[in-house]
Amino acid sequence: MSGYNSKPLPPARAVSAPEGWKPAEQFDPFEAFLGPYFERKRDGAREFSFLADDRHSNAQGAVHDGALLTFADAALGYTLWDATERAPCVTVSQHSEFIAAAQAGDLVTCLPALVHKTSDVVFIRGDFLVGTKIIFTVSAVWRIWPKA
Amino acid sequence: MSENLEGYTAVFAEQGFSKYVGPVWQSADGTEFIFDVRDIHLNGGGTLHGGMAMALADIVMDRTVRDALQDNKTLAISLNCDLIGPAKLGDRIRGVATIARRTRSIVFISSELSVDARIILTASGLWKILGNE
Repeated sequence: MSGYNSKPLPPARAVSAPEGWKPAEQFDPFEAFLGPYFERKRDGAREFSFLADDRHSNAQGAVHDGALLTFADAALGYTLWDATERAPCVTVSQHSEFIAAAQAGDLVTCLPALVHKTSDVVFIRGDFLVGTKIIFTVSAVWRIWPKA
Repeated sequence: MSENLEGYTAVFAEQGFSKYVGPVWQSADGTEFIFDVRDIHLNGGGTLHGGMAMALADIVMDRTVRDALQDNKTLAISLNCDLIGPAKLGDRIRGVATIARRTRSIVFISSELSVDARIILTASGLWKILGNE
């Protein structure tokens, strides 16, 4: 793996953090393009969120699958970084279930759960909520290259 | 932002996510999709972001389902993606989708994204048909 960007990128749109949240540093151009994403501490881990707006919507006004898939990839990646001291990693496979619609203006939150980590593979999952209602869930396999 | 691609039409290009990250082009016969990787689509390692790759598969499959079921509203309920290889800045991704079966309430569909002859992503999904309960 060649060098990964280590310089935080500004989000494409200025969005104020909801109370209790702060912006999560973004290093991937595509995440900054859809950002900002937010974070807060919960049970010693980072919980993540984003405020859905028109950039994230489909023609029906609901949050687009792609915006959820991208936020999921970001949230799981953050959690994986936290567990591996930022080891280089890539998504290998992700199973995603779209359970209910979210709307523009909704705050979508996720506290990812690292299920199991081996020397080169991580099993990780996440439930995505609007308030207390689950709207989306993913389970994923990531490949990691731990630092020696 | 998007120059035209002769023989192709931009899908879901009116508003929202698909316009913002697009265009995703569809051939006139509906069977082939094209997406050019730009700098905004990358991850911090300089390759296509996994979220955008999965989103592209979702858009290709969603358009294919809607084309096949013009009288029904549909929505994705399940999507499984295997991210087989990277795509880089400037790559032209081709997408195809195949409907395996349509029941009264569910469409079973799969898709494949490739750069030249190299497959970068395979996906399978379930789309719910609304209004047929």
